[in-house]
Amino acid sequence: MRNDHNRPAEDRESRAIAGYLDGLGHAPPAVTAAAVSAFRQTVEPRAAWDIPRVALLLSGIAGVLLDVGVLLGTATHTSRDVAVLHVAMALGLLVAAWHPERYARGLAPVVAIAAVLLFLPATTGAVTSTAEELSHLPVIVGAAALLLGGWGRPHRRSRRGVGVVANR
Amino acid sequence: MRDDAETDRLATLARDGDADAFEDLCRLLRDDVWRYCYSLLGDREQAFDASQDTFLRAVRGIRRWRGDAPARVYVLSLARRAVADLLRGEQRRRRNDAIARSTTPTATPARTGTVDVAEIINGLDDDQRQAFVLTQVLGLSYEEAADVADVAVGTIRSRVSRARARLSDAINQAEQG
Repeated sequence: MRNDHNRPAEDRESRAIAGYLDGLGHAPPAVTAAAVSAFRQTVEPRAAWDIPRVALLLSGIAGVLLDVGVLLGTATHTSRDVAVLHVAMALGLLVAAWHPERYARGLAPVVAIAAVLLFLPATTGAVTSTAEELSHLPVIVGAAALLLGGWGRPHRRSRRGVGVVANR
Repeated sequence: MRDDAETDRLATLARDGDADAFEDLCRLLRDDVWRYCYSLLGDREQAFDASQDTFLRAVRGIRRWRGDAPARVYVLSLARRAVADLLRGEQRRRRNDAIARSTTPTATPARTGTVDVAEIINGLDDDQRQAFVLTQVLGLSYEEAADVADVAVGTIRSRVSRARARLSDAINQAEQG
């Protein structure tokens, strides 16, 4: 049986330990950020080679092939500048095809806007030649693939564990 | 409050690759790991480094957790190694064995009467302080503390007993004085 004479001493000791615990405080939330990020990278599923991803790859390759000739040739300064932008966008599509779960979401608005601006002249009848308009096809297909690929969803899933949420 | 069942459930999910469960597990254990590291190192920056290192070790380590000990105990054992490695690194850099001692008593003092509890606990030798913090502050059983510290249960008992005796003496002296 517990000796009641010891109880006051034990109470004082418990209070002392509780005070020490308070003094240690709580962990800074950032202390786990690097580990959580690293864990997510280890379990992140690689995207499957589905139709949108293959479309990204093909439109990227086509975009580079269409304009690399202009870059290597003796085109005018303006033509070279336009070709540089086209090739940059095509390389962006290739990068997105390589790791769509990382890069597709960020690239989508840029390519989508480019596709709309390239497509607008066709809707207003200001088309010079069909062949020239077809050169915009890689950007339009790439934009469609980025938007329809399903890579724009928020990464985080819904929370579980009431106790954990309350502790946050 | 300890909830080993929830901790173990999250650890099992994390072991199977559930990143959300791993994040929740870290959140549940971060205060324990922080307090353990801070009480042994006595320096907030070092405690942050050691705590962060502990959870980074858990990224791979959780897959090796087999459930024969609570996940809390397993993660705290990772914290012990992180603290030990950090102190070794410091010692290598400074060639000064007193580095841990010199940085220890910076935790906010908790006073009981006129007793500076933090000073007493920080004044314990490293092994006693570790055993005391694991059992009396973090609430681990002697068996669990022995697993974390990688020593025999009897060793933990004697270290805790000596630490409690020092704390009790200090409280009594303060009250009598």
